[in-house]
Amino acid sequence: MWQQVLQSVRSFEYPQSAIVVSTALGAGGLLTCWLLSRQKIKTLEVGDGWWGSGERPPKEKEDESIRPFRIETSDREIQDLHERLDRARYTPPLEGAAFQYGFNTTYLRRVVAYWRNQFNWQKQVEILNQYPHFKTTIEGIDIHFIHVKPLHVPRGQIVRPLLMVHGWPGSFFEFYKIIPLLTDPAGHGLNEDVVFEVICPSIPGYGFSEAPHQRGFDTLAAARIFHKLMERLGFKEFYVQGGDWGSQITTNMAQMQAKQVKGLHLNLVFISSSGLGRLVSLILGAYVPWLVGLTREDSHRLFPYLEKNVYEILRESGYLHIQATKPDTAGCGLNDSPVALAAYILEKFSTWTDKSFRDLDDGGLERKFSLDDLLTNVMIYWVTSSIVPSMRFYKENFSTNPTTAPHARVGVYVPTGLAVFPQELTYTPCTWAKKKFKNIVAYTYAPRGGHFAAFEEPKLLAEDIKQLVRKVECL
Amino acid sequence: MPVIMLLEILLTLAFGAAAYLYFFRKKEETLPIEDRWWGSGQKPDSEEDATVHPFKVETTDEELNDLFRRLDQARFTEPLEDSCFYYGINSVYLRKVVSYWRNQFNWKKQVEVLNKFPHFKTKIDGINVHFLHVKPPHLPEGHSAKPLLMVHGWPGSFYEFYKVISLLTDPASHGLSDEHIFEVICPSIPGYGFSEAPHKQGFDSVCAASVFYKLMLRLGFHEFYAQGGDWGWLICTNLAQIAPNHVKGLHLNLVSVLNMRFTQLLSILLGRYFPGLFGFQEEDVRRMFPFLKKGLYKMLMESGYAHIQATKPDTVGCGLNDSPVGLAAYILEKFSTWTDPEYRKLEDGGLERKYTLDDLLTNVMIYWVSGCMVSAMRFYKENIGKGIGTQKHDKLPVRVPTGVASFPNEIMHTPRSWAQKKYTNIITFNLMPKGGHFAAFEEPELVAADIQQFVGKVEREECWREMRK
Repeated sequence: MWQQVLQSVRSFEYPQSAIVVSTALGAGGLLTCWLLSRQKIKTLEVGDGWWGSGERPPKEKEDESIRPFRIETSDREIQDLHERLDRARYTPPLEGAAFQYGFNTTYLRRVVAYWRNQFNWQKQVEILNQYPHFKTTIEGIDIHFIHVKPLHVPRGQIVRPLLMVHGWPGSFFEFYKIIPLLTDPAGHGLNEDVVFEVICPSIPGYGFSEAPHQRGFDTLAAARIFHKLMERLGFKEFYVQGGDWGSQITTNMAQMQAKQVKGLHLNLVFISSSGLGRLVSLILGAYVPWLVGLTREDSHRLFPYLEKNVYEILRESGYLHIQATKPDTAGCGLNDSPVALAAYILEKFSTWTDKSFRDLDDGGLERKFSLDDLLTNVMIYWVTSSIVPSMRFYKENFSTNPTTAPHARVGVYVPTGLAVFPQELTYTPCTWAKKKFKNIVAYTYAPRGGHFAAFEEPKLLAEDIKQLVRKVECL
Repeated sequence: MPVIMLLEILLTLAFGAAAYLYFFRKKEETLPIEDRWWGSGQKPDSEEDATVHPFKVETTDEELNDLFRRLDQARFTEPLEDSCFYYGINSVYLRKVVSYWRNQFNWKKQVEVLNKFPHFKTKIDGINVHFLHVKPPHLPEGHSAKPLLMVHGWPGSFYEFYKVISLLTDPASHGLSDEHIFEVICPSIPGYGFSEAPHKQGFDSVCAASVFYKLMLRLGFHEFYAQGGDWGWLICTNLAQIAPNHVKGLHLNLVSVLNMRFTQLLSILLGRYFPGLFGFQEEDVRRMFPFLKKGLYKMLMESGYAHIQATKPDTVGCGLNDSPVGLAAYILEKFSTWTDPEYRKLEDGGLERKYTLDDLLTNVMIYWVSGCMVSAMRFYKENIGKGIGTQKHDKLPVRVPTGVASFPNEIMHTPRSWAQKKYTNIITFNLMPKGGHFAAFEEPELVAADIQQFVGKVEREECWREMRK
């Protein structure tokens, strides 16, 4: 049969054979292009946005100035807080409940007594102001950030820019202990081969950043705004670090503009747990972990899957469910009652630091954190009235199916370092993370610590960030 | 003769075996009653004081001034542009409600309204149980008042029943047939309103049903009807499972069948195309499908409150007990969305279309002055925390004559064919023309009429007698 085809082709006149050849080449070319495009690195579309109130002013160029900012307080603000603390109404806990029903009010009364009588907000404001704060307008809203440069730079030392993004219910304040370890390692007895200047913004809607006035402000919008911020500050290349929402935002940044992100460091990994492959991995992994690429450590942390993952997540995700559906209702009372705000936020600092703290009458809060630090974080939400906008972020991000959203399907090609803390809320084995993060250069198991890694174990986290940089730059 | 003797013995044995099997089969499994102690500390050795004390709702200037101060200093967050009620309650509308609350709402007058029915308290299993006991003002000759226990839910209270109680205890004055006149007993679930909250863990719907059963016995009722929606549905169902011989009839405006069986699953997948096969009526199909949107997705969107209350009630309730505005926001959002889900598209949540602010705020005030929001929320953890559809009472059927009023805007629609799997003795199942979750509050005439026609059928057909055989 082929003989006949060849014969008929050879028998063609020149133009006709040319057509056949060019068609074949064309088809081959298209096939090659298609094959290549499947492997081509896809990036997330950057897009644009406007978050100010009303319509975006046409043609008006945005004020790009970077204005220094100082946190301030007033007697009136403190007095109003004290009045509300004084008239707080509590419900006694059930007998033997510890923290199993949520924040135990017997312990809450002690926290509030400290807050009312010993906590010194004016002193804490001075502590907050120890680093330089700034504000700048991007896409219609004021973005707050701190920018901490090293005090002394040894000769020949490169200072690497590092963007650190917080999450919920945290704030830029979570990084106050880790920042000196990164900008001044020598002063803290650490190796000074890697020194950073740290830029730490507040996510719009959190803390001193203005809240978006329009619907739809998700992690992609935050990522884009932070890219613009770094650009405005003159950085062409930088490292990014994040946990909680910060992890998702910095990942989006790496997906949007990979060239600018030298390295991505995360202490929490978001990947979808769905898909046939994942299911097979779970079913088989309990018995033959090595077959599906799971290590012994993975097995220990993942199984039994129902108890450790499904039930635990159901137990601890009520806040996520209500914030992703009715944030304005959920946050209403919290913005009006400082005691309620403290209970809601501090419950997370207890349970997300160590799940076993649920069995303690005081939620184990003061084992890892000081009341001054915890309350300063709460005060940031209180004085800025940002609890409702901070909760809206959940609705904006969960309104589309997280597993099919564009950024869930785009890979991350930037060199990535993952720090896995034992008490983190969810666990992601390296093999699973690799499906999304194509360039994992470091995957470390921290010996201790929970969700608020920077706040609780700043030294461990700092070391891990530096390790990533060493690997990326082959130091 | 030996053969005849043998035959006699055999016959006796056979008869005995048959009788034994008959009674054995007929013996129904009932739910065991809960007898735990809910007071604080140890149960005292002395016998409990079983007196029924009259009770009056009271208020003070101090209470009002404290409320006003908090309302005046409320801190609101501006809503997103064009968000209506999609993100929860809209704070622009909330400000209007708070302004009314502060300046026009008259709590002293509302307290008098509350006190128009007689209130009582009595101690059961260590806690004070509050209830209304409303007897008919006039009984025509030859008539007797039928006792009816009505149980509220969350975030409602005994106050939801104020309109329907008048229709049931005094139908003649409202232009209705007085064939069936009721005396209504309307308690507050322990942990809600003026009922004391349990001090021990584990107070679930079966415990509440046990307490109400003891209450009815204490009041001298050995046969009564029970009505409920929301938690009231479950508590009355449990009561019918604990004491089927005492519950003449069970009327529900919410039915939920939680342990999904295979046929139910199948009916979800195919019911839209083969409704007849699964016993679905046209209205069932209209209310249930497309299932993803009207069932699953809607459930996800609207169950955040249940999820957090079933896991961290003390945390989420904390603010609602300290900020009256927060409390009102949380409660009123439900009165909006659960009355009609379309109200989410309205800037004012459609709240005043079906209710007056006075009525809505009176219900909120009951939660505020009693400080009961946290204990009310704990009920979710005690019931759902152990697992959905896995409890003993989920698996036991209900054989008591049952009447269901199915309202179109109820959160989830349960068709008759599903309800029948659990409620094996459904006497009436009516698809109502309008109304949502708070049926008694929103459509008291429809609820009263449905109760009356259900009771009428039960009494006429003496269905309850069948139960005793």
